Amino acid sequence: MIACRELTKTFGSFAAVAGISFEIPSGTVCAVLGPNGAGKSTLVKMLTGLIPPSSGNAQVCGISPSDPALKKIIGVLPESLALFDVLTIAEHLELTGAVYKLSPSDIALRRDQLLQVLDLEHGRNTFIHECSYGMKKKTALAMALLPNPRALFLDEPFEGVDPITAQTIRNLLRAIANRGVTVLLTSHILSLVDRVADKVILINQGKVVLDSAIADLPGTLEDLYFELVERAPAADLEWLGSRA
Amino acid sequence: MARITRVIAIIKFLALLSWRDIRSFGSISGQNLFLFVIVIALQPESAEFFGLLLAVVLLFPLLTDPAQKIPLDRRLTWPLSRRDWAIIRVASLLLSPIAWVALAILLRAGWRMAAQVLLFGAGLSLVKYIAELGFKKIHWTLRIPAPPGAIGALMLIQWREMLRTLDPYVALALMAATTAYRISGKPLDPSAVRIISLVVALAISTGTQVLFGLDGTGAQRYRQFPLPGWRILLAKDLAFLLLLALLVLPLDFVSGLFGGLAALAIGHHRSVFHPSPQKRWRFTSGALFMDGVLQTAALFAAGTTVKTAGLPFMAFCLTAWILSLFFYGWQWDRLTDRN
Repeated sequence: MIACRELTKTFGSFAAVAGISFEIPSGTVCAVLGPNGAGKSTLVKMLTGLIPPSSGNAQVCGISPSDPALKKIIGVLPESLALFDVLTIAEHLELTGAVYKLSPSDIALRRDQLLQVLDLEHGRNTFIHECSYGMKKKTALAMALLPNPRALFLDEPFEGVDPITAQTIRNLLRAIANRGVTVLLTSHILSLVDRVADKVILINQGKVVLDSAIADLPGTLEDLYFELVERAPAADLEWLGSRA
Repeated sequence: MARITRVIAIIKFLALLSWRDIRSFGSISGQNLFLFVIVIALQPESAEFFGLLLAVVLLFPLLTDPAQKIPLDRRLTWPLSRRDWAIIRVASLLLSPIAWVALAILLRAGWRMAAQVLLFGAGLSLVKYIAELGFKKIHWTLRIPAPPGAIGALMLIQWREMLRTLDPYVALALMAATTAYRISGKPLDPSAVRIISLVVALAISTGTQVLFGLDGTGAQRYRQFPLPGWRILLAKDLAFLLLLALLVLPLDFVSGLFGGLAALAIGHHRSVFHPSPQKRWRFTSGALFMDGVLQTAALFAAGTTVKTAGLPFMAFCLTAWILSLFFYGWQWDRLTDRN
């Protein structure tokens, strides 16, 4: 379970996250949505212990994010991907396995399965700095999954990956949630969120504007998003397409 | 007219990129070996060899063709003719630093010397081209074995990062030149071997001030790993010490290694509190004042004293390094909490 109460993070006078409270039961896939700069990544960083909150508190599987023990039971796909240019894709997974003290045989097994499932097999010996963005994203995701975490935090897992991989990730997330893993993800792809999440939290300017089970939503997610969070501005650049 | 404007715009853009690239070589001014060269320049003939060594190693990355700074996809999609590209290529050669050096020599020492410099530059370019082809094909750093466990995996990262800076290659050239001289049978004072061993350690010691400098976004991954700070620092230190051990093995092993330990004990402070990003294929750049000065003094003091003071001093150096490791590891953990 992931829970937070009045979680706040301020940078100077700016409140990136302003008193957010919610609960995500075990075995749930929860999508946190919101425009750029709404506070989604800051929220994920606080819940994973990367930055401390200014006030409020949180618990992930009963452990406070400030407790170093939390790092052993969570998997994180960070916004920056946090990859090493000098390592290959396969070496990133081997490094993760070694850090989480898995046996060499387990590391090899999980590494090979993840490379296959996420369609990374062909690039396993490619240095990260030579990889496409999609391959990097999948490598960072594989690193989050490899230690078999009890809670998973994924910052924009579907962005920049091909539709087949997006579907694979969706299926994987559904499967592990059914086995009791709690998943918190952020995304901008509403159509995918609609199909993978059990619960949705909409945040805007650091505050929760909607917290609901997907099944209980009063309308489509897209309509609600535009209604509660933001509307696309009507924009036209007159010189575009003009040949005069 | 429009064509000329377009070509001039691209050449101006290349000039800007070349200028920024050259400015990045200013990193040498934050290199401990640079400090050493400046100090011994009081006796110019002593500094000549080390200065030349730095210059030759520096020349390799400087030999990049400025036209290559335009991404291939841009070159293929921009609406420019072959003639336009030919003009840009010729102009870009004039933007190469080696052409400027040759021009300066032409003005001061005549065309023969300038032609020799250009020929030397062309030769180095060829060596660089072949080396790069080989590097791309073989991926030789993939062959570096990773020691077992989490520490070993982190050491592998550090080795690969260190080998993507110019520092170890200066040290290697110094070690190779000294070893070749000794093999030739010419007499060499044992104290000179010790000094060169310490200079080798000094050449790579700036890296100990920026242990996280080449990790890029990977540095954030350390924060997510369930590892205490001292273990992360230990992995980086061991990687440094093992590379140093290889470099000083044919020289004065003990002096070089204990000089390296002293540099590490001091370098932890800047690595943890003032992490500064580094660029690949440049000299590592730290803070010359005061960290670099302190490191240089401690490295030479430790490296020379260890020979005379023996085991008690070795124990002292080891203790200082271990204390620094745990203290700054603890500080690293505290910084994580405070972020």
